[in-house]
Amino acid sequence: MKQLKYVVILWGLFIGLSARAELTIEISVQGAKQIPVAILPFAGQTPSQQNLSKIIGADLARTGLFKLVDPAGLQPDLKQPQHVAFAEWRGRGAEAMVIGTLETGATGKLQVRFHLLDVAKQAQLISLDYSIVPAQLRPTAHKIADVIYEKLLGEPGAFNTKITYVVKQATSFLLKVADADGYNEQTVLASTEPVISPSWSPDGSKIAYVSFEQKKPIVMVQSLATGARSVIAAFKGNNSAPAWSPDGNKLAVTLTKDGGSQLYLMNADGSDAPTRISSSAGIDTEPAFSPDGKYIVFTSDRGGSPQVYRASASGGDVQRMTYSGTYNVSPRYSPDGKNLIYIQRNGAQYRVVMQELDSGQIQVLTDTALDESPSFAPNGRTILYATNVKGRGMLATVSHDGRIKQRLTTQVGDIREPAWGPLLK
Amino acid sequence: MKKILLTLLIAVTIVGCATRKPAPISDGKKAQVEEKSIGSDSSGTGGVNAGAGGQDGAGANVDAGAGADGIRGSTAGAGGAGVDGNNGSGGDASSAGAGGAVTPGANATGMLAQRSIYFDYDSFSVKDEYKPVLQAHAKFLVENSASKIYLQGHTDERGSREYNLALGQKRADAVRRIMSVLGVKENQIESVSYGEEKPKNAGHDESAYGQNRRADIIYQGE
Repeated sequence: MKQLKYVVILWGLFIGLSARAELTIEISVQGAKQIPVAILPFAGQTPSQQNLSKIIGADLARTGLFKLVDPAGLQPDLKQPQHVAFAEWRGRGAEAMVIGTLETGATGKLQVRFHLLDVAKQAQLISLDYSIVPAQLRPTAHKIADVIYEKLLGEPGAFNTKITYVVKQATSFLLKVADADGYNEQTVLASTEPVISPSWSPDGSKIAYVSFEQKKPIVMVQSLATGARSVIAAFKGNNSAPAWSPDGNKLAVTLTKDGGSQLYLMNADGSDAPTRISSSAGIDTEPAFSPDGKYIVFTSDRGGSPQVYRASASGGDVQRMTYSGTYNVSPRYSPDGKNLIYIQRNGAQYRVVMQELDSGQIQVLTDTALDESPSFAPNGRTILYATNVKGRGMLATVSHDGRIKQRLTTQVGDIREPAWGPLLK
Repeated sequence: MKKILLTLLIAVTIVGCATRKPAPISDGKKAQVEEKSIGSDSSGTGGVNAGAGGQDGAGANVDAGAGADGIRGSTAGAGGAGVDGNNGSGGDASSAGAGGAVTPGANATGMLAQRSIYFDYDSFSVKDEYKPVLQAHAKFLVENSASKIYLQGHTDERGSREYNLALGQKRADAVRRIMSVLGVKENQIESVSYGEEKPKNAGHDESAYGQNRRADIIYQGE
């Protein structure tokens, strides 16, 4: 087995910040085929602008499925597909290449054009134009990376997405939203009390989460565009574990207002009283909808140990889904609805596992020891989760086949509770 | 411009302070919360401002959970309320709390000074050794019917935060049931859970976990 291991260090040099920002992404790839692709600097890119070709290249490299071919010295300033010396690029090892242009129009708008070329066939696979304002450069680079990914691999990418997570910093709990590549991090909530379980609305415009700011857990929903927050559930006892229905109209939550932790369904805008949808003598919590909205999976200790169960979206027809081990929690459906991921304990190890629903087959995906809070990228290719190494919380990703692993670490900090957001338009 | 990486330049001191006492959870201080929009703001991390100002003591140490699975319930039987000695009566050990209600006070001694009930891994069963502690607090509450407590359940850090939240609630409820049997009125007790969010010991080993799997007795107004 070929084990490729390298470290990409992205320096925040072009930021102009006095402080140095740094995200280290460590990628480990086992046995995956990598497509060699050359991404040339876009003609017209100026140093003051963000570097489109580097953003695209970093996106592709991070997946572990592409190998970047260094274009230095070969055909600089290439703009037109008809001028490509394919034989030379082939000699350099490229199977695919990307060239492009960036021009500033009279209105201040930027015109971006790229061409994706098949080097062996000497043919263009796709070419697209974008007319954008400068602030859209990074998202546009991610969209281009998504197009390249899909053309070369035959499945959608998930680069133009955001992630959310919570940073514990001294006595503060900071709910953050960042681009999936770690850039553009913003604090959407700063609290002196814990914040857990952030959950994206299906359209990516809102985040539901659990805040302890009233000295007990309550469920809130916050708009990302305006920052406006509303209390959705603050009933007697605990209010937690919000999960959006696929249409964005409902939230499944865990409440203790009637005794133990049980599942309830409520309108996502907080109108109307919650409807109880589970009835066990034990704990029922961590609901998650199936992509088609027909089912809810959840964690329950009704059988004596916490296991994953599935019910219809109205709470009926409960079936136990996990039988292996004495601790299976935090279930989530894959975007295609064919698999479940959850956290399984084996001895002292808490790891992300994937279970195929049809066959019941289980695969342990991670080799970390204290995993929590797994969530799928919208293309189902990658799972984002929290883990803990040497007492420090960090984020990590693993591909759905377990082969490609990343750890997202920072110089300092304790990061937890990640959730991968939907594909942005 | 916004290119702040997933980065925290700020030294993070993780919780800690095992010596700080849990403060009352309704001490009048508000949690400080600041929300932000991420619309078109270009300031990167934006002003985080989580000033320490509103930091209520509850922060101090609570929490620690058990990755617990299983959990076998039980309510340790509570024999009569025959408190065994120890400054049981509110008398000298007590003091008036903010709201006028009597509390054992910060200088309480004996059983009333004990405010934490510890649990085994995967368990919300109250061990026999804590009966005298619960009996002392029950006696105090029966004699001072205006006094109220919060029972805060906690777990260690392993496993699911949401499951731990539910488990912490089971621990708080187990203690609440015993207090009820001992004569404490329902309206004097509110059980809540912090799950694994507020560990008493910020360490990551068995001894820390053991200190974190607990239910804390918090007198309102103390």
